[in-house]
Amino acid sequence: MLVACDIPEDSTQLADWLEQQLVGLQLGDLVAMLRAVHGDGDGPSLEDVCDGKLSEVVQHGLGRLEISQLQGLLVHPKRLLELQERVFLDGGDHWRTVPRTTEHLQAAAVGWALLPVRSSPLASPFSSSTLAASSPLNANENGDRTGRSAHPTSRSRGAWWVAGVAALVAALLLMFWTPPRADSLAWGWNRPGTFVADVTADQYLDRLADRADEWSARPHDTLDQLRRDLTDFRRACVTLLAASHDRLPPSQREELLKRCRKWRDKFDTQLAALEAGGNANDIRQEADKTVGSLVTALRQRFAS
Amino acid sequence: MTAPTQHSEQDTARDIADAAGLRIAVSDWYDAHAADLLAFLAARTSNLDVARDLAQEVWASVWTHAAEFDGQHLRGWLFQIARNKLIDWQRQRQEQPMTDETAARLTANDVTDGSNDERLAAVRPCVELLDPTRRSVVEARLRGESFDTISQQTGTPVKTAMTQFHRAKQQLKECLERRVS
Repeated sequence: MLVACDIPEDSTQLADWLEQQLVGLQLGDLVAMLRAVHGDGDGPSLEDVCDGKLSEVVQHGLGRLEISQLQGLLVHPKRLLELQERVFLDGGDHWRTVPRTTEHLQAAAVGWALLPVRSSPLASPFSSSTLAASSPLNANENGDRTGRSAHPTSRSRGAWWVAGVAALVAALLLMFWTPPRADSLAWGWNRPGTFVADVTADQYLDRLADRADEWSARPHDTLDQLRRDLTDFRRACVTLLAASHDRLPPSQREELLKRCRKWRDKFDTQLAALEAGGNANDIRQEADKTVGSLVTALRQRFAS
Repeated sequence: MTAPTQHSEQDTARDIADAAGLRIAVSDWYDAHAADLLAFLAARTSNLDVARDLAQEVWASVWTHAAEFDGQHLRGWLFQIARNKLIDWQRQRQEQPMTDETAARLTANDVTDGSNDERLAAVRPCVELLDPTRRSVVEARLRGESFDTISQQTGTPVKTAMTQFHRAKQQLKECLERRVS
């Protein structure tokens, strides 16, 4: 609740700090404290608070605002909630680079393990027992609905053991998850500019291969090193899956995404084995093999 | 934050012709959007546990209704589901049963204000207990002003202003802890 008291004194840091609050888990607390201190009126519109620069902010971040405008967001805190929604719906790639806390990513990741998707991977969602009568896009169509969803959740299904294992993997994986960094320590596909469409398709795939191959030059002598780099590579797969790959023809793009999902699953398996105390040398060799075949596939344009 | 490109979203919509494709699509969507969806819900509910529960309901709905996604604006679709879950949750918490007419007029901003009102109700009495000097320093800091600026504006030495702020923060913390307990 006292996150508001951490507002940076250095005004040059205010934009970055506020961006992290906008995408983080404490925005509600921040808004409540600011409302208590500055009052609860509606005040000017979000567009007016941003002095006509709202669309720039949504695309490119709060660095587009002057200090006085950032302060305007603090003294009209309801606008922060509105801005958050705009950013989440329509925000530009800038917002992808704003770091999330480990706690936030862990909280999000563990939820996946509890979904029916994990517990019954081959179950068809199109059976009559799972299709609900109401669409999730209409909150009010069923007068006798309780506030909670009528859809079955994992709590009403079996296979807790599968959810438990998956939760362990997800939670342990995310213990070592760090937010994407835009600094020089990023390597491989996490390096800035990896997915920029500024080259031909061939050059693009070669760039992906070259950067993936940075794995072979990195030390993996200790468990920590191996774990860190597997986590980094796994995170980079997520980024690759979300990128647009505009230079690639559709067939290559589709193949790239298909392969990346398989590589991601292999990294997940290797990380889980590491955390379960598996033989580190064996896991290292497996990881080397995964990355080796990944690099070859890219260089050979998926012929292998 | 932009959703995956329209091309990839349409691809994933086509991918979900079978169960395996569906799992992959939902898995990708989860990877890309779960953290933001959770943050959206956390800002609009009274605590993180409630937000997590609602997030799980949202994704359960996504899983069940993935085939209905038309590939156009994934984030819009996901966050609309989340808004409706929020409205359902808020509806359940009303002391008096909400009429369908009222519920139909309830917007997500109403839900937002309502849930933030709970947090405001918790913190406002504590702020009001601050003496005028401490209150003044807190107001200035929560406008983003530095201690140097506060010192120049008020004539208070910087270190004194910092001490006043620290004590105000401590007082607020103790007050909130008492209210929670």
